[in-house]
Amino acid sequence: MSPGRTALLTASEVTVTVDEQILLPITSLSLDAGQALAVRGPNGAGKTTLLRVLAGLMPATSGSVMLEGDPLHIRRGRHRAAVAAMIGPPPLARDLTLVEQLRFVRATWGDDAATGERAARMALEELEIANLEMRYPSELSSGQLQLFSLALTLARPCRVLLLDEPEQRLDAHRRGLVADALRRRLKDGCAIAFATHSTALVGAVGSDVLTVGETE
Amino acid sequence: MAATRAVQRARNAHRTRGDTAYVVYVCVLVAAIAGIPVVRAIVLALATPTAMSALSEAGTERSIAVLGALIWSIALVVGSARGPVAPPPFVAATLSRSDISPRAAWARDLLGSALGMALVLVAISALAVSGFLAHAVAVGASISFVIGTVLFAVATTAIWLAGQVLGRRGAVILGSALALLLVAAVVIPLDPPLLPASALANLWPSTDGATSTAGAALVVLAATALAAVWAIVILLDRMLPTTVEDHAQRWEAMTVLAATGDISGALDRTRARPTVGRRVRIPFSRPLILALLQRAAIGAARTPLRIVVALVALAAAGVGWGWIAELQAGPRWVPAIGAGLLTFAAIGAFSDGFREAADMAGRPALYGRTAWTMLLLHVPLPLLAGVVVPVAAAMLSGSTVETAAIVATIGVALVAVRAYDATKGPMPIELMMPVPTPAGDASAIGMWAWQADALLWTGVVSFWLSTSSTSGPATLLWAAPVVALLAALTAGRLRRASS
Repeated sequence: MSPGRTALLTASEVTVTVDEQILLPITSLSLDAGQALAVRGPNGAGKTTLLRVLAGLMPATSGSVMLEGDPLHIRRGRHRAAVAAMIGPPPLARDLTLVEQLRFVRATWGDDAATGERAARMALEELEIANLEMRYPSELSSGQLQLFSLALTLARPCRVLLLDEPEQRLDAHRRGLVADALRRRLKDGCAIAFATHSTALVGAVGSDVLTVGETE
Repeated sequence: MAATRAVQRARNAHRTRGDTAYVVYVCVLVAAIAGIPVVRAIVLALATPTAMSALSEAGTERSIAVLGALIWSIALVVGSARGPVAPPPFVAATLSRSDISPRAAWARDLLGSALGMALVLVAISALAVSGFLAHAVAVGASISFVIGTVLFAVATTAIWLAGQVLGRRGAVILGSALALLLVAAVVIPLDPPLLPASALANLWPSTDGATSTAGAALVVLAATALAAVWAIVILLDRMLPTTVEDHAQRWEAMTVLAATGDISGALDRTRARPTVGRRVRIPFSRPLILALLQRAAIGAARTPLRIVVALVALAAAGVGWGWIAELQAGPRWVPAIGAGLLTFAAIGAFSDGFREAADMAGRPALYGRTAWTMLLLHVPLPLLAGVVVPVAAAMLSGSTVETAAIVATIGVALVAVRAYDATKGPMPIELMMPVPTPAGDASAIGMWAWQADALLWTGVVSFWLSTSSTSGPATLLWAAPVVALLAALTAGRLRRASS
């Protein structure tokens, strides 16, 4: 980050402690527009907890998270609109087909029917699941469900994207598709932080690496 | 089979004498503290001269015929979600994949479910005729009605099992037949008792004594029960291993969730999956409230059986409210609470949007609106269903505008209760803490009250409205603060879930 400029998202010495159990050791990071950061560490290191704190879903016990210099409050409309995240399964409507769920998401962000339809189809094609567009969520395999969850998260507009192990249950080809999709968003100026165990994905996205438990 | 049962018994922890004594103690306490006073209040209310006179009117018989036909339709829908054969998953997997015939493997489970359901129906029918029995009026007819209910329960078991066993096509055919039966119960003369539901209605006692067609009605019901037993044997033989395993796993997951207080999570397991209308296009027109209405309506239409049953139940509740309003005196709150609970249950089929909005709380933002805004945007469909259908049914059955206003008010209030119920979430852990009292641990009271709060709200709203029909439409204004209170409680729940 160049001196004097405010980073898009910063976390300063955040920790999460519950009943003296340290869920997230002291961690700091800063993300600029168009920058990717891979959050790494062994199971239980606190990667998901860090993403939850960055998404405003969990308060930090100490430290602070700032979005463009303001303390992050995810209930604020501006902050909700800026931060998209996939941490755990997203809410799915059992009575809507995949393309309808994506159109529905786009409609709530203000798209008219035609624009929403276009965006929905692009999201499906980007991850090569357009052939599944007429399926209901209950008709998907676990890998397909993972791809669709990613498609839903990628379909909504955002400036910061947080993903928890996006490579889960995906084969090498699909992991490549995810990397391509993330690179496209980086090019558009989105800041991305993702927890991962995949060295290949880190390399494909070209991201910096933060190992939880080690200071920046 | 005996060896399998022995293994199953060995796997389960044995209940000690202390466990049995505790269960008996709890049952006696519940019956003494809660059960007996409630039953006594209902019997006393039904035994008043005005109530007995009202219950002897011809309209009661028609209501029983409709209710009977409705119970069969509901049994079919329930069977597809939780059939009468739902053993523990271990037993389901072992027996369904063995060389034991399905009939031999599942007869005992079916019998248990059938007995449970028959007990519930008999208890309700006995309570319904208790007013007559308290005055020793129409004793023979009352006993005949209870016997008729037992025979009716046998046929209900067969339909419940059919809901579990039949595929989509079979369920649609049987569902259509049951819908026709329901229409017939509304329109055709009850005498002679040609249909099982009208036969049950024929057995309903009156202060004039037994009806002349009681014998014929019992014969119709007995023949139906015999045919049902024959159908049960055939259906059991057609039970697929995957069906039993599916129901067994779903039921176990539901009971675990219910035991931990997550009733909405448990009910979510029973919710129907879409079966038709995949290619029906949702326009997602602007404004957003219209897009959500289109999405909710088409989404709901994709589970047609569930929606048809809900619409019929709403129409029946509307007709029921019309009948209740015409009662000059007596315990109108008893049928009013029944109609309220029926309305509440039926609105649930149109309330998936509320659950969807509640599900957003505490998760990363996916939609461009807050959970509260999405919940509000989802109000139109349940409101249309919960108000328009019962009001139209009440008006078509000859109700006054005042009665229609009451029906509309209860629809609005119960939609608010539905929204409140959707945002419930899991039970707070504090409620599970022991509450020591001289009579024992009272924590169960708090847990039950928490789990049944939507039903308690429905009961209170229905009770209150049943008094409005005598004290004038101005009393309907009380509904505004009640709906506002429910909205505030709902918003509070969403806020807590989001933080």
